[in-house]
Amino acid sequence: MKEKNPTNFTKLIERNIKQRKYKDVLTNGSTLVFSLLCVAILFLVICYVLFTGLSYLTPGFITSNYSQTSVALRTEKGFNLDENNYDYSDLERFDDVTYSEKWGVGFQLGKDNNQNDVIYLVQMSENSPFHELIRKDDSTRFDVPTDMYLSYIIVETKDGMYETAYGDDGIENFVTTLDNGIAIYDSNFLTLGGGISASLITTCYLILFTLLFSLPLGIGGAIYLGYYAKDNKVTRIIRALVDMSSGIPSIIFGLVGAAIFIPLIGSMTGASGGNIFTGALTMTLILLPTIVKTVEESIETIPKSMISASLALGASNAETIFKIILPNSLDGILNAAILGIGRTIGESAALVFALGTFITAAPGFLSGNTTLAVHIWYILAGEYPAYEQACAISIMIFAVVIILSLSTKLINYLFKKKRSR
Amino acid sequence: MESAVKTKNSRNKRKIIVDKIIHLLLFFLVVICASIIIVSVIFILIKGVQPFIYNYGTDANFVNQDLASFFTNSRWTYDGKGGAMFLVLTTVYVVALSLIISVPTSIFTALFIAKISPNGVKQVIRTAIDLLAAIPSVIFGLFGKGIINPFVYGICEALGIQSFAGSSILSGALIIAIMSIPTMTTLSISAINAVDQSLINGSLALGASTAQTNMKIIVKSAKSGIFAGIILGIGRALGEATAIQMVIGNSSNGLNFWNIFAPGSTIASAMLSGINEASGFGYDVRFSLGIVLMAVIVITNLILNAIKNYNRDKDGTVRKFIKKIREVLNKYERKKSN
Amino acid sequence: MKKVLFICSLLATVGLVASCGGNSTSSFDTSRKINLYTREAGSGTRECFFEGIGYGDLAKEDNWNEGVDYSAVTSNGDMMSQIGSDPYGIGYCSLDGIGSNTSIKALSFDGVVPEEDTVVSGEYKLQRNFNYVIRDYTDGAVENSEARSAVAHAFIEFFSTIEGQTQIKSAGGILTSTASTTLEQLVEKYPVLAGSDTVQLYTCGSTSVEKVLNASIAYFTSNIPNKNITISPSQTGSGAAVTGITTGNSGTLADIGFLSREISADELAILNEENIHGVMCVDAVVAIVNAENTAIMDINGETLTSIYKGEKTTWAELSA
Repeated sequence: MKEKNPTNFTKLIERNIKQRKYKDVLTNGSTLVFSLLCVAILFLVICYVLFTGLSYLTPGFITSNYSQTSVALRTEKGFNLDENNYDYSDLERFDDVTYSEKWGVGFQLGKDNNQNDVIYLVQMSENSPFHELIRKDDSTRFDVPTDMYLSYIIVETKDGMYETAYGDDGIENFVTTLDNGIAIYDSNFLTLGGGISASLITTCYLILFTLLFSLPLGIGGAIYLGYYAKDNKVTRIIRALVDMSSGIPSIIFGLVGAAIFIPLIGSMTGASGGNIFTGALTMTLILLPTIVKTVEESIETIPKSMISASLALGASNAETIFKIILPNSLDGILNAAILGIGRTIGESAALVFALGTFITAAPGFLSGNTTLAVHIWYILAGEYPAYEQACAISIMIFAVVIILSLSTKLINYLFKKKRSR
Repeated sequence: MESAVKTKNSRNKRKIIVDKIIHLLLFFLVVICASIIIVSVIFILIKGVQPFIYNYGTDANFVNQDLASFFTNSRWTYDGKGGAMFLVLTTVYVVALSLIISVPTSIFTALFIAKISPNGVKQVIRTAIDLLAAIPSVIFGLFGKGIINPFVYGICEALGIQSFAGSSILSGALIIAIMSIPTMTTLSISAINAVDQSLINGSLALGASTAQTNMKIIVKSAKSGIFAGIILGIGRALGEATAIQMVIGNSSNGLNFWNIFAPGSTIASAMLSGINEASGFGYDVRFSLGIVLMAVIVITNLILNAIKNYNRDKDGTVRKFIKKIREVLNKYERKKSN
Repeated sequence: MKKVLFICSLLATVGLVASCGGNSTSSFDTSRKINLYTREAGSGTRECFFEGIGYGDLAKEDNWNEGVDYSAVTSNGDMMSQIGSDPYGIGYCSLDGIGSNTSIKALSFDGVVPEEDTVVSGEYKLQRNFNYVIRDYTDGAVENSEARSAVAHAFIEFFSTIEGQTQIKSAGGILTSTASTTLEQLVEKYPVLAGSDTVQLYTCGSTSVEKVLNASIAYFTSNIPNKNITISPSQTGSGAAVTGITTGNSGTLADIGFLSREISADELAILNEENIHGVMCVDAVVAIVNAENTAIMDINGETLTSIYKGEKTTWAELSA
């Protein structure tokens, strides 16, 4: 655009300045919008996980076992309800409870982990024969549990037949069938199950062993690269290889770990499959490049004069490493450890192969067990994915990740302060 | 006196020996760190080549991966005639789509954090980015299923397009865009922070506004650092499996370039989808896909790095190379026209 | 850059508006396309469905006709949630999962309503067996093989006791035989169940049997006198059943493998007579559509085949 008239020149500048201001606000505004978008995404993810999973995150969920426990109870052999007369007048009546008049008990509907209707026994008369039920396995007297749901009941009828009532047939049918019987052959009380206690313990063990294996290796490698290594071909190749391995998807490390470590540990200890050690070694493969990088970076920030002074005073290389380099790269080591913990908690694809997906009741070092992230993967890969439970576990992982991330910031802040002093 | 020298000497000797041992030990450790990748690559290569060579079926019913159809077939199957090129193209397409969202978001966010925002806000957004980077991908998968798919379904219904309840290439692109934003942003921030202050001062002194300086000076000078971040983000995006498999719909029947609301399948999602039920050939051929995935990552990196170096090509190797290619092409065309 | 910005913000607004207003679609539009959903290749449910409707090409492999759009999900639950949120979708899942799910509708097949009675009587054709196979303990690859063998065989026999059959039924499995023994008799037969030896078993194979299996394991391990017996399931898919008991999955040798389909000829070739196998229970596969779908109630194999072949593409073509 060419302006020929000089009197319009100031006008043009004014217009340009106006346009510029408009543009400036637009660009600055859009940076703000995009930043807020990032925060909003994080907020959305957190909200989604919280809203879906929070109601599931109960103390029972964290401390209980994944597998259900059952107690099967029956009446004693030869018991006949019709032979006795029972007085159930002590039973207080509620509207939302369905009562069996013959047995003197009340039932109520509840939900199991798959949101299906299940039946709870909520009320019992003092005189109810339910107080005399015995365990099927050792025939001992057992108090009817009220925190467990009743999945079905098999009764013996007058003519010696068996009749079965299931929890999902509806509560009325259930009571009718119960009233048809003169004795109880089998009643199956179940805990809800679905708990994560074992996976939680395994996760802690896995973190411990992963750090035990990976930190010495990674710190050693980093010291070599940051202190000893001369700038030659070998060093450059080593650096390039370490860099490259941080770009490999973790699922591939999982396959490699499963193929190498499971037979290795198996032949050493007699373990028959994936266990905490194979998982920790595989995680070590995944973490090493990151640990080496992080620690090396922090070694490089140590002033060269400090190292020269140490050597000039007659300290050997080894002494310099232990007395100068290690203490001064502590922030790098801590950051690397925290990064390692975070990755170990979040890793699923690799551990599916290298650790396995067995959710056991009692985690052992050499038997199959699983971590929280793999636990999520397993319950999502199943035939009836439990998204709510997955979100509940995600909340826990989230909490740990947030704490770790904040502690990295704190460490960096503290060390910065110390250095500047 | 003599004994003192002796003990000093022996101590020195011990020191030297300890030094040597530690030196060797550390070298040994670093070799272990470096050999991880070699072992992994060899292992994947051996496993991945097997499906092309061995017979997985019975003698009468010969099953192995057909090399020709591996490159030409337009759909991916597990009967030995599947074509991986379709997966490669979809993967590249999904990642390219994701870049439309992730690149501007990352650059602008990095600019805001590094140059514009007041210190308090800066810390908040920085922490948000760090947290986003630390979220496990399985959680992003959950989020994608719960929020992104219904969102995309809503768009489709509003536009009157039929979709598979939101399971689509677009959902996959959105998820990996979100997942690659933290990597790109973090690297862009360091690149922007590394821009020479005198350049900025110069620009301001010449009368440019801060916004103009930000866009025309800072982003331009930090270009190569930002580009490095984008390359790293792309690497991550290409290899992402868990989250994308949950939202993309896992259709392995041909390309869907014209319709981003149709389901698709990437290399990594195909590797993971149905791995539960896989055995024998169906399991081992996933390693072949692993080779393809690694090849795609390496080739993409090489191309992007070449582009990145094109402008800073001091000795002109890339330029010369491209010039040579042009000359060859011109010659070929001249010959043709003659 | 600004154009990109503009497009992004436009898309975002459209999406926001859409996701607010999009959920209010009410009436079923028969001129819309049929969205095809399937299980992943290798799934036992998929094999049963496509064999059953007479389109065997798709049973194991993704040999779809050119240009057919489909979406593959990896579990019954996923299938139901996808069909539940897609008014124009069609898919299939296992009968026991449907239960009280109100967002989907089960279609009758050849005019037969999928129910327990019609499955037992054989009128409902889309059905399959859940099979088991036990490892060969004579190869000496596992420690404590005698006790493990006894417990594994006892657990399989448990499926034919009154208690065991009730577990299967309570978890949605369908039985074709009646119980002959009781748990008490089983404990008498296998002394290890009454002792105090520590025995750990692993199961592997189909995910479809998970519900039945978990219920059975919970009852079996809790209600035998020996409390030191544990059974850990790791169900990943039918394909892992035979490999799990012969060579092991991720290194763990399993004791019992479960399949939601028949054992294939290739797999039978690996097994020997020590690998006892048989039928645990029966399950039906049901074609499902969204609950809002008013176009169709009943379907047959021919129609389903033409739908999955991509020959019939809109809902109007079905109701006509």
